[in-house]
Parts: sequence; structure tokens; C-alpha cells
Amino acid sequence: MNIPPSLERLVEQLARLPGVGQKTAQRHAFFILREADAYARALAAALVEVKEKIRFCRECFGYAEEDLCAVCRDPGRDPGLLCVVEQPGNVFVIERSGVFKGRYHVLMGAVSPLDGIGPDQLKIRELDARVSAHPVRELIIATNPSMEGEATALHLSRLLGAKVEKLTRLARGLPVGGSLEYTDEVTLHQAFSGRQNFGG
Amino acid sequence: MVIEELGLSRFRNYPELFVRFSEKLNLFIGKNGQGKTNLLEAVYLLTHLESFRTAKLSHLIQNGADTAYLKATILRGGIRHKVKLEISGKGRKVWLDDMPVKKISTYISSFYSFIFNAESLHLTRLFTQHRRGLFDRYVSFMDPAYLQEMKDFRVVAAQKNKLLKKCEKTALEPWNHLFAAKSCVMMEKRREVVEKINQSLTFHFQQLTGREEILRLKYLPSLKGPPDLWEDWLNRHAPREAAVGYSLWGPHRDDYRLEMAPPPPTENPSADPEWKPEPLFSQGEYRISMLALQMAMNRMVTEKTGSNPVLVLDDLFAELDTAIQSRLMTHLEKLPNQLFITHTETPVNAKPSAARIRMIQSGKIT
Repeated sequence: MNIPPSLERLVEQLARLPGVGQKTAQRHAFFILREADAYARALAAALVEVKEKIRFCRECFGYAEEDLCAVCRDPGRDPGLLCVVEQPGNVFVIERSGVFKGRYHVLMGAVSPLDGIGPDQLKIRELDARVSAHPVRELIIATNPSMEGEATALHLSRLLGAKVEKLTRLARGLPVGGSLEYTDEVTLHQAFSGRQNFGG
Repeated sequence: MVIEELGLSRFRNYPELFVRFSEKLNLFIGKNGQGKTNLLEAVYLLTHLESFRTAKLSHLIQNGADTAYLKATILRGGIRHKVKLEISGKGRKVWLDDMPVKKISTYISSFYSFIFNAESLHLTRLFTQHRRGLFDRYVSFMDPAYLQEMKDFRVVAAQKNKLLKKCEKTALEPWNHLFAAKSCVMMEKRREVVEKINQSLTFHFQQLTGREEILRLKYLPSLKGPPDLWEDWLNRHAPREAAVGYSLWGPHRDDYRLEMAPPPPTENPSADPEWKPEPLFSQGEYRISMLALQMAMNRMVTEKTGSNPVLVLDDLFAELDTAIQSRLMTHLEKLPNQLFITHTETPVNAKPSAARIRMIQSGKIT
């Protein structure tokens, strides 16, 4: 039996989502069909609304519904601490941990010549301007531990190292709650090379 | 480790086969084209999950069939494992003790075997990239973290080459920094393994041949001098790299060379010997030197893992004179490893007690 065209269209659209294949897309589509009409309407409205309302923060390029994002609007956040991340989504990951009380700067990617992305394609000029306009005590580079993230971090340290008091890079190593027994060699190597002084 | 039993179904020229192996020496005798190498290919496939003859696993399926199966019992660390492999047009599937294997790399790094055959010897002698490939495998045996280093290096090199092609020299500096750092780690690991090999290479060579010459493996890195100067050096030489459009120096251009020398005179043991480089070796000298190299690696892997790799030696006695053949046989018999050897005729002086001499004819083993 042929799948009705409207259902097929929905499956096709859902299958484009990251991490969703044909089978999962079908499951999702059947779920939407089984649920009450209100769910489909709410889902559709949410999809449209998010595209209409979300924009990039004028200051840090994180996701915002207004000119400035919630972090940049918050007077309680320390402007002397600046954390640089690759993607807007990274901000929420760090925010969820609640560990960081400073502000962010989203680069919108990492340098990757193979993808045609150089420093000029990233929000680096804007970062430079921010650092020059307001004194920064510590610039924390939280780009991914990939080679592209490393190269981006190196570029930033060369460009901005002299303009900030302190420049740091997030540590890499053992996951919390993990067991040494199940840690792969590569992570272990990095944990060893990044080991720190301990105890009094 | 020991492969105790092997079952083949629709694999190469074997419609069905069940064979029980000796835990030491297995010698397969047969004329050309009877299926000796196919059998060794199956043994190798069990541990590496790839063939040493073809990149396309579908070539292993018997003509006219659509799926080939391999089943084996492998004894490792006192535990008997059941391995099953299915090869179809879609690829391969592996089961270890009736459980589907999800992480192939873990499987491969838990079973070790070495292959010694004419084709790989030939390629290794002719092409630097095959020599690098061989030693990259050896280094990753000794240090699994090396695989990740290689992966990272390849990413960095590809990104750097892209910039060199576009002649963007200013954006190059962070990549050269990473390039120098990754090179340093990779080269350090390569150097360590070469040093370790050299500790026993001459010993193995003398054992195999009864000759007195000394043998060494020379590592010829493309980046020279102290590593902390490389980044700066690469930056300064960027125009030359940009002119050709790819990186000219680095671990991807390293080489290795075997060298042989007469034993140092007893009256002056520290005299610098006269080294003969590998291109001047005879075919037989090259073959036996490479076998000595594998014996050195075999010992290193055994020391590291506590388990003896399976040695797969295809057409081992080719190009070797009868004196060396019989010496080699005596030596191999003493090894604790399980060995698979093929030859076209029963080698002279081969009356190995523990060995199973098997005849192979048209895909049948007797």
C-alpha cells in the first residue's frame, strides 16, 4: 500500500532532523497522527514561533528573543569574565551547569579551511572589538577539543593574548563519575598530560 | 592465542570446510591455485576483519553464492572464544561468543596476527607509503593512543594543505603550531618503537640465518633538529610549501630503512661498521631481514599483551636456499606461537614433530 502523500511529506521532513532516520521519522509521524489535533497545532505553532522570535544577541551572538540575550541583560553577570564558544547551543550547556558567572561570546563555528571557514567568517572581529572596548580579566576559550577547535583557540590566543589579563582554555580529561577502568586510552593520555597539583 | 578450529562456507574456493589446527606449526603443502593462500586469508580475516589481498570483502564470497561464513574457536588467555563472521554484498557482520560485535576496533585490538607474504614484502620494498603503513600498524600495536594521534594529524594536514592550495599564509600559523605538536608526538612514538625493534633485530636475524652480520632499522624523519624549532621553521618555509600546494615536511613524509653490516672486529668493537642499505640487499637477504623484523615485533607484542600473536607466513621458503630453509624450520618450531605456513612442496629437512603437514588440492585438505 502506498503511504498517503501528506504523511510521506511529514516523514521526509522529520527524517532531515539530526539523529533521526527513516524509521524514527515514521514513528514520530505516527505518534503525531495518533495524538489529539491540539498537539499537532501546538507543535506547528512552536516551530513557526521559534523561527520568528529567535534571533542572535547583538552583543554575544547567543540565541535571544530580544535585542540582547538574557545573560547580556543580566547586570549581575561579571563582564570581566568572557567565555568563547563555537555554537549558540553551547551557551545553554554551560548555563545548565551553573558554574560560570561571566558572559559569553559565540563564534558561530570554528576555523576549517576545508569548509571554507576562516577567521573572517567567524565572529572574531566582533570579539576583538568587545575585548578592546571593555577590560577583560579572563578570556576562557571553550571551543571544542577537535583539531578545528584547537586551531581556533590558537588563533584567538595570538590575536587577543596581549589584550586580556589572562587567557585560559577548558581542561580535558576524565569524566566525573566515570571509572578509570572504562576510560579509553586517548582520554587517559590527555588526563595525564593535563594533570594538576593536588593537596596542601 | 591459538585458532583451534576453523569452518568455512562458500569462502573463496572452499564450498565447505572444517579443519582443526595444531596449536604450534601448521604447514600446508599444495600446488599453485589449490587454495593455500585462501586458507591463510581466512585465518588473517578472523583477527583483522579485513583481507590482506583485497579491499573488497565481497571478493571472498564463492562465485555464484551471496553469503560466505567463517566460524572459529579461538583460545586466548585460557578462555575459548567462538567467533562467527558473515560476509555478504552488504559488508561483514561479526559475532564474538554469540554476541554481535559493535565496536570493531576493540575486537581487532584484542586478537593479534602478523602476515608475511610476497605481495606485502614487495610493496613495502618499493613504496615509502607502504613502509609507513607497516610501521604505523606496528606502533599502534604497541600504543593504541597512536591511532588517535594519526587521525588528528590527518585532519590537521588536510586543513593545512587546503590553505596552502589557496595560498593563505596568514591563516596558516595556528595549523603549523598543531602540525608541529602532532608531528612531535607521532615521531616520538615511532622513534620509541624503532629503538625497541633494534634491541632484538640483530639477534633474530642471526638466529634465522646463522650469519654473523648485524642488522638495524633506521628511522628517517622528514623533520629534523629539535622539535621546539619546527613550528617556526615551518612558518618560515611556508612560501615553498605554498608554491607546490601541499605540505612538504612532516611525519607523512618519514621513511624507514633496514641496514646490514659485517660484525665489528673483535679487536675494536666500537669501530663504526660499514652499513649496507636495504636497496643493496639481495632478494633473499631482504626477505629474511623482514622476517627478523616481524620476529622482533612478535616478541614486543607478546611482552606487551602476554599473548602470542598468530604468525601467518605465506610461501615462506620462496627465494631462500635449502640451508636457510631447514634452519628456519628448526627455529620456527621452537617458537611458542601458532604458525600457519604454506609452500609448494615439503621443505627439505622438514620433519617437524608438532607440525601438522597438510596437503591442499582443489579446496580439499587431506
